Formats: sequence, structure tokens, C-alpha cells
Amino acid sequence: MNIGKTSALLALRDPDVGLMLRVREGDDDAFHELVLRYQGRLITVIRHLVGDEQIAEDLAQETFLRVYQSRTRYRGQCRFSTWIFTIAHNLAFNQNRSSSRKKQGPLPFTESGSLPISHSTPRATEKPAPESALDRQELVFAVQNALLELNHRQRLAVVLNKFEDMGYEEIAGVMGLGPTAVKSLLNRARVKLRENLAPYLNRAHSEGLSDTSEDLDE
Amino acid sequence: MSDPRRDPLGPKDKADEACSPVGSDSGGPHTGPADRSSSMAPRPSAAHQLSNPEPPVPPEPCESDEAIAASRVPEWLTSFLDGEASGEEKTRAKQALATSCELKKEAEELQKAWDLLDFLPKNDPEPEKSRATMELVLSRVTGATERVDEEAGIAEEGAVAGDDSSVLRLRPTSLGQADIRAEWGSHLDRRTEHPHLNSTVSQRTKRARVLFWFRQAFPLAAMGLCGMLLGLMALGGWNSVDSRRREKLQKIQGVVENLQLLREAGNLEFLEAIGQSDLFGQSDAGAARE
Repeated sequence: MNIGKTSALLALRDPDVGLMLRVREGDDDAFHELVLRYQGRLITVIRHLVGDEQIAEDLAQETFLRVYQSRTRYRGQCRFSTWIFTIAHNLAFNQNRSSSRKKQGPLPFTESGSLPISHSTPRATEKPAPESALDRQELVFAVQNALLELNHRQRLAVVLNKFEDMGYEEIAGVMGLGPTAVKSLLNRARVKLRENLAPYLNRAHSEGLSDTSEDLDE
Repeated sequence: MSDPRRDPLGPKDKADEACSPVGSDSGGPHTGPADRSSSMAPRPSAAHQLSNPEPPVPPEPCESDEAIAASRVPEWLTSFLDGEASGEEKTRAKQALATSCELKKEAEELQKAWDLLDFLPKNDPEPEKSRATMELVLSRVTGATERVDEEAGIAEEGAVAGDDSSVLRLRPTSLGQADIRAEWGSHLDRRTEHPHLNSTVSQRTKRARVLFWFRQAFPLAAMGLCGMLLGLMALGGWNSVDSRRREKLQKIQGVVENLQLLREAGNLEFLEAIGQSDLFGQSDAGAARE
């Protein structure tokens, strides 16, 4: 099978496209390499979309199955990450939709990792949360639940931007939107995260994160 | 700069916002009730608005928090924080932040909340999980292929000829990694032990459908066949009994027709006397003796 000029150029820029083109030719070692490269990343992204690690692992496997099954139709016209995260996003979206039909919605993270404690993140008005009473674990749960309070699209845009370092263009490719719509989604997500995490904002400094004001002045 | 929230990027960016389907989390053009009324009804004059101030149309409940909150943070600030602003846009954003303490505080809070996402756990690549995924994917794909081959009668022919092409087709073409090869070998063994792993969902559904109809149709067909056989046997039996009875009746037809005369015969001597008198002829007398 001939590789088109566009896909050949893209394969030079994106090595994952080259691997996927090899998978298309029947090279299963190349597929194993892609699984090694993407499985952890997929689980991270899906986990933050559906709120459950076990489901995320299953959906990541399902994503790879879909990739393998449709390998002969792969043309290499876009970045491989865009393609695979689009598949993952669709699967996660369906999962959340079927969960919401059962009146569950995305599962909030819990301390035990098993049963959900509460859907709501403690807000500044609801829980004054003194810094001394917080340990790192609590902070993690608060951030996880704050993320789950965003709607699916906002959450996807945030996770892809934060964990995959994707720009507006690439996120737009995954979500089937325009870059301006992605900017708007991220704008709203940032505002909502700030609201939900208001009691914990100063915690970032004590946990050793970078000084934001210095970053802004740079 | 009087209003620090004013877009420092100029009217071009605003035009982009107006054209794009922003404000819609569903991805399509989405307008609330206020937007719809403003676009469809004629816009009142400024004097009319001042003399008859109408109460603002409240936004939809699900959008209210988000819309109000979003209106407080300009999108150019988000693109600046996301590192998506161009060189000129960046310079303007920095100027805006330098001249407004309120805007700078807001930007700092937004960035702090964003940085808290760094606390979220990340999954590192795990070779064990990758191998398990490879196994699962290949077993499901090869399982489905093998079943199709079996249904077409290819697998049996290959097995007889020692050709395992239906299985080997999706195995690695270049066997560079011994451990992966071993895993695939074990996967093939496991596939034999766990046949449920061999087919995809659609394959299983098709097979289940075929089996269901086969199970439903087979007993009915068998019962019908049995009924037909029984009917044929019964018909044949009836015919044979009837013909035998007819033969017997033919044999005793002479006796039946002369029954009255034979009753009047009375005894053996009378019959012998009739025989000697040759009343019925020689042949009849012989037959009577017999």
C-alpha cells in the first residue's frame, strides 16, 4: 500500500504517525510501541474524564482495540495523538452518558478509591477548610472533584491542555470544534476551577509550586 | 487605560468571537433567550430604552453562573495564561496587567487554581499493562478472524495440511522481541483455554442469533419429519390390512354365495349322495370332497 505524500511528511514530523503507518502494513511490533507510548497517557486523560481508574483502564484498552481494528483505514492525515484521543474522548463521553442514564454521572474520586463520598467540592462559603487541617491527600481529592464538577467538554479541554500540552488547535481537532470555542471553554473552566478551589489557592505555594506572580511578570 | 478588562487585542479578536460558536458547550451555535430576542426582534432606539427601561431577561438557570463568571474574565487573559497569545497580544496583555492591580490579582488566582491541577495523579507507562493490552487486542482480533475462517472451512483444511495461516496472519511479522513473542505464544494457548476471548461482541451476537434460530427450528423440523413418517407408516399399514382382507373374502366368496344351500345340506351322507349323483359335475364334487 502506497503512503501518500502528506502522510509521509507528517510521519517525518510525528514519529507516531510513522508507527501507525507501519501498523497499517501489518507490523505488530510498531503497534506494541504505540501501546507502550500511549497507554499511561490515555488512562490519565480518561480517568479524569470518567472519574474512575478501573473504567479508565478498560476504556484505554478499548481505544487500542478500535485503533487496531481500523488500522487499514488509517491515512495519516492528522497527528496520531489527535486521532487516538478523539477515539478515547468518544468512548469516555459514551461512558459518562450511560452513567448519567443510571443517574450516577462521572464518579467522584474518594479517599478509599471505592465508594463516592460526595459529589460536591468544598467551596469557600461551605467549608472554611483551615490550611492546617489539610493534608496533601485531601488537596488531591479536592482538585479531582473540582475537575469533575466541570462539564464534559470543559474537562476534556482542561485535561488535554494540562496533561497533553495540547494547544487550542489540537484540542479543537480532538473535540471537533474551532480554536475560539476551545479558548472559550478553557476560559470558563479556569473561572469555575478558581471558584471551586478558592479555599485551597494558597495551598499551592506551601506545596512548592511556582510563584504565579513572577510567572506573570516574565 | 480606564477599563482593565477591555480587550487589549482590539476589535479583530472580538469579531472572531462573534463569528465562532463560543459560549456553547454543546459545540454548536447556542443562543440563550436573551440572544434570541435580540436577534429576531427589531432593536429599540437608545431614547426608547432610556425612557422605558425593560428589566433584563434573566439567562437560563443552567448558564447563569457560568455566563456571569465568564463575563468577569476576558478571554484574552485566558489565551495569555495558556501561552496561546501572539507576540503583539502578549505585549498588550502584559501592559494591561501592569496597569491594573485588580486584573493582576485575578490572573494570579486563575493561575494558582490551574497550578493545583498539578496535584492530580498521572499514570506512567507500565510494560505489564501494555503487554496485557496487546494480548487482549490481538486475541480479540485474531479470535474473530479465526472464527470467520472456521466458518468458511479454511481452518480445518489448514490444520490438515499443517498450515496455521489463519492464526499466523496477525502475529508479528518481524520477531525482534523474544518476550513479546513468548507472550503471544501464551496468548494463543490461553485463547484455546478461554474460548470466550476469541470473538468480538458482534461476532458473538451473530453466532448467538444463529444458534437461537437453530435451536428453535431444529425441534420443530424433527417433529414434523417424525409426524410425516408416522403418517406414511400408518397409511401403508392400513393398505396392507385392507388387501389381505379382500383376498380372504375372494377365497370364501363361493361358500358365502351358497350358504343357504349348504345349511340345508344337513349331513355328510346327503352330501356324498349329491356327489355321486353328479349333480354339480365332477369338478365340483372333487372340490366338495376336498
